[in-house]
Amino acid sequence: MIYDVVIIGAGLAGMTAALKAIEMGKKTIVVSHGASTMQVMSGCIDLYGDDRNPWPALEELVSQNPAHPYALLSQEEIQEALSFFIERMKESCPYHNQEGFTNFRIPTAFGEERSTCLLPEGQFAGQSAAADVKSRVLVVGLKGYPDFSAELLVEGMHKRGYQGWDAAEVDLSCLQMPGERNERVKRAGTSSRRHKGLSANSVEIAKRLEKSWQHFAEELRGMVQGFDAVAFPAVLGLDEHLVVKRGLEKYLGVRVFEVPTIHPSLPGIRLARSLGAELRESGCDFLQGFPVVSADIRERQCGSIIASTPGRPRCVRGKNFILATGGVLGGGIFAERKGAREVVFRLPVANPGADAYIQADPHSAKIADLTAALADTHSSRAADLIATRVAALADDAHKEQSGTPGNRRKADSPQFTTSGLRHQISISQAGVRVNQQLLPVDEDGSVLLENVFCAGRILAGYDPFIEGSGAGVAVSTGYKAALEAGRLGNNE
Amino acid sequence: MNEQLDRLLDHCIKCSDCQGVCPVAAHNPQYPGPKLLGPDLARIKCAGGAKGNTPEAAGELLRSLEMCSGCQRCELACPYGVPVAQLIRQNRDVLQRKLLLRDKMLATPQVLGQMGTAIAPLMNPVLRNSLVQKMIKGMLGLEMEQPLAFASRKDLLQPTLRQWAGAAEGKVIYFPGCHVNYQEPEVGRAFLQLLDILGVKALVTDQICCGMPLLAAGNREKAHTAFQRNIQIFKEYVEQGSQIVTTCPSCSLTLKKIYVEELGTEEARQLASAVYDYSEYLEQYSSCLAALVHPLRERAAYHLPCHTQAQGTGLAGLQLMRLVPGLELNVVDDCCGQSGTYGFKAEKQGVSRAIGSSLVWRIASIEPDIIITPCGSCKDRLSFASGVQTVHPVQLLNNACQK
Ligand SMILES: Cc1cc2nc3c(=O)[nH]c(=O)nc-3n(C[C@H](O)[C@H](O)[C@H](O)COP(=O)(O)OP(=O)(O)OC[C@H]3O[C@@H](n4cnc5c(N)ncnc54)[C@H](O)[C@@H]3O)c2cc1C
Ligand code: SF4
Ligand code: SF4
Repeated sequence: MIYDVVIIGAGLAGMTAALKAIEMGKKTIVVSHGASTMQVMSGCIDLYGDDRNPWPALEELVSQNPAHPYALLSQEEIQEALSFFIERMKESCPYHNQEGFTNFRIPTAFGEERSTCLLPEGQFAGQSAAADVKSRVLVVGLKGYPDFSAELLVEGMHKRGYQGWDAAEVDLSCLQMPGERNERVKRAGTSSRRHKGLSANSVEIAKRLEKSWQHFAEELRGMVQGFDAVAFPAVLGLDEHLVVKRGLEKYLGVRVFEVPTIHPSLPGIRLARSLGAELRESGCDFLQGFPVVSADIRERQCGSIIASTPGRPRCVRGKNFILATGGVLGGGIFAERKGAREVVFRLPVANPGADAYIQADPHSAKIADLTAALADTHSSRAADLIATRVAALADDAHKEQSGTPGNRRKADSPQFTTSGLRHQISISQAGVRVNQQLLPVDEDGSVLLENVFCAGRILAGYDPFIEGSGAGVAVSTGYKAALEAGRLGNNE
Repeated sequence: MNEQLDRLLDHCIKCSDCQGVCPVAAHNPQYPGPKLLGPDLARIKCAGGAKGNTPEAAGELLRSLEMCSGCQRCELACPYGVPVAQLIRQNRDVLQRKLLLRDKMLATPQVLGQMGTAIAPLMNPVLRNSLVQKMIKGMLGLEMEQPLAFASRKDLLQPTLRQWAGAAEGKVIYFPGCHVNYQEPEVGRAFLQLLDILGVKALVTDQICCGMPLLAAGNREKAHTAFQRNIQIFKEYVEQGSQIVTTCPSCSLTLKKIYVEELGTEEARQLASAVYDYSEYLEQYSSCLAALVHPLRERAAYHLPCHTQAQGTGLAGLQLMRLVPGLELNVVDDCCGQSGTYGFKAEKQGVSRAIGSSLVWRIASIEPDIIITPCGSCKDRLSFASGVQTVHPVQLLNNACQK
């Protein structure tokens, strides 16, 4: 079996590429080591920055930084990719956008504000609530679920002048657990954790809500009088999220929205599952759970990739390949203190704008501590997570300096670039350099592989955290990679 | 715990991907999930010293260890190569409890099977009485909708060939496993017929249970004895370069992966590299099979068992099914919740059914004429819950060749 398109990586970039490849009639397979960043992300597709209209800023970025992944696409192509994504997710995981793909403003779990371009249906009502200072919103926390605090969110909103927001709490014991109907189970098992004051995780609450959201709605009915909308942590169902969310709205007679929480993040998991289901239904094959460890390359052409499976490795043959392994955090780049390498094709890793990976910052003891931890860790992935934390700290430090909470765009301003902090996050720009067709190139710009296209976080030259561009780059370059791979396939 | 595992612990960045895919965690509020039971608990164990002194804090976690069904999904989801399921299994070492009679019985399908075959003619009429059924199940703590019965058929295990005559080429060793041996010999027969059509000579040697049920029951010592015995049994053949083929995903996963993880010996590795899932083995005969099969006009739900996914052989099996013209394949890959004997245990039955219900619902929405799945225990569960005829892929292929 020779596939038309072999995609390595099941993140947002790889999955979008797969959707497009399948649509183009290509026999497609997605090979991935594990789950992806979607499990921890908010489900919102960030395009770029914090401006209401991100496009002028994007244009400026591209003109200043021609090596940025967004420079590989025209604005029309980016919008085409976003439209394609929305269209294909319409049924199973619907997304909203504004005319001309401008930014929405939504409340965060801390009652701050953030911008994003595409909003999943579950978070959509949040933007209208945040658009009106006079809005009256009840924020519902769940007793037994410590990862979300309604008070914290409301406090943040009050600080920003949204006085009509109020906090409430509902006890999770109103939810029935599937399987709990059986008394014998209760007797034989240990008593429920939540009865002992121990916490539940978001996935299991979501599952429980699917079975008994009506009980939950019953509890809430008396509380929501006089409010325009009700906000919940993002736990309103997993596979039947839309049933739960729409059901609650109908029952309570108010708009309902979710606020993303820490991992496991339901909006991202739903997106991952919907993409997976959509692809499977369209006839895409999957091989998940095993790292691709090498590739068979002859004369700059890849013929097959090799996944490490028990017993013996499994070889997947194809005509065209898409590398969407997600960079350091995703596992596609292995970083050591000496340097970094791309794990599948052994492509050179560029790290633009940095002479060292991580430098200690004399101004911040915390950052210095984390950096020390970084030197001790044996795992490159742990290293990257720490690096991410360092980046967040650096971002915070900057926020304190500039006095504008939650404003990421400021972080990208020149004085920030020249400060020592900029180096702290330099690892997040590390990646593979590509040409306009997304083919990997060396320092001189010569093509290294002629049928391997790169997409998503594996690309060099951008910082999704500071720019607020993570999912936007993944969707648009994933889409484009499939177009390029498909085009090449057709020419043959 | 071995050093290599210790090092892999460090790879866990607490991303919770594993938590998100664990079927038990999604359906059981008491279950702390793979991250806590695997890497986190292992860390506590490390801190407690080599003797496995576990701090009090781990008490709650320890009691949950038994709720893991061993589906391996957490391990497949982890982006960072943490052997989550293996860590959970290792962590169970600290559980020092007496095995229930029921668990001992379920852990030895071979003994049960041999005994059953002998006493079936006597016992089955008695078992037809529903009151007797209830009593026995209650006594043992079993919770199953299916009636208890002993297989009365003679097992396949009678070695077909004792002597390995001539060169190894064109010959394989078939490892049927206990499920085929004692409950569904027709699967084994279908496979042997298929091999015969392809001109492959198959040998069924004296062999014992792969040992997985023992390990699942928490009896590591006995399990290791079984592992070692199989390694010895197959050693000679492996050295001659012959292949060992199974039709049971759990047997082959055990032989290929669990032996190596548990024993870590070179011999285990050698055996692992000689063991093939039926689909991996038949792959080489694809073009031959394509020429042999007759069309089957059927709408099928093709279920990928957890343990097939855990070996990465799902594709190979699917590819084989695609050789059959007219067969409409709808792939489903959720956990059925049965996990061998897990779903039969009273304290786990609720969660097991809850896990399986969404899969059964999905299959029902496909409205299949037939369900195809390589795993015996998934097969039992699915055919019972859906009422749809369920077959092993080799049965389907064999039928398609015979018609
Ligand atoms: C905590 C967090 C929150 C975020 N929140 C947001 C947000 O709210 N909005 C937003 O727009 N962006 C967000 N981002 C950024 C954004 O999610 C990512 O930039 C984007 O999803 C990257 O997608 P990807 O497909 O390129 O890579 P990944 O999602 O990292 O996927 C990589 C895939 O490749 C696989 N892989 C890796 N190595 C191998 C190998 N050797 N063989 C086979 N497979 C391999 C992995 O298993 C994985 O499936 C967030 C990021 C993080 C870390
Ligand atoms: S998926 Fe892996 S890294 Fe993430 S929490 Fe689980 S074991 Fe740790
Ligand atoms: S093996 Fe399966 S049941 Fe056990 S923790 Fe992992 S995902 Fe959960």
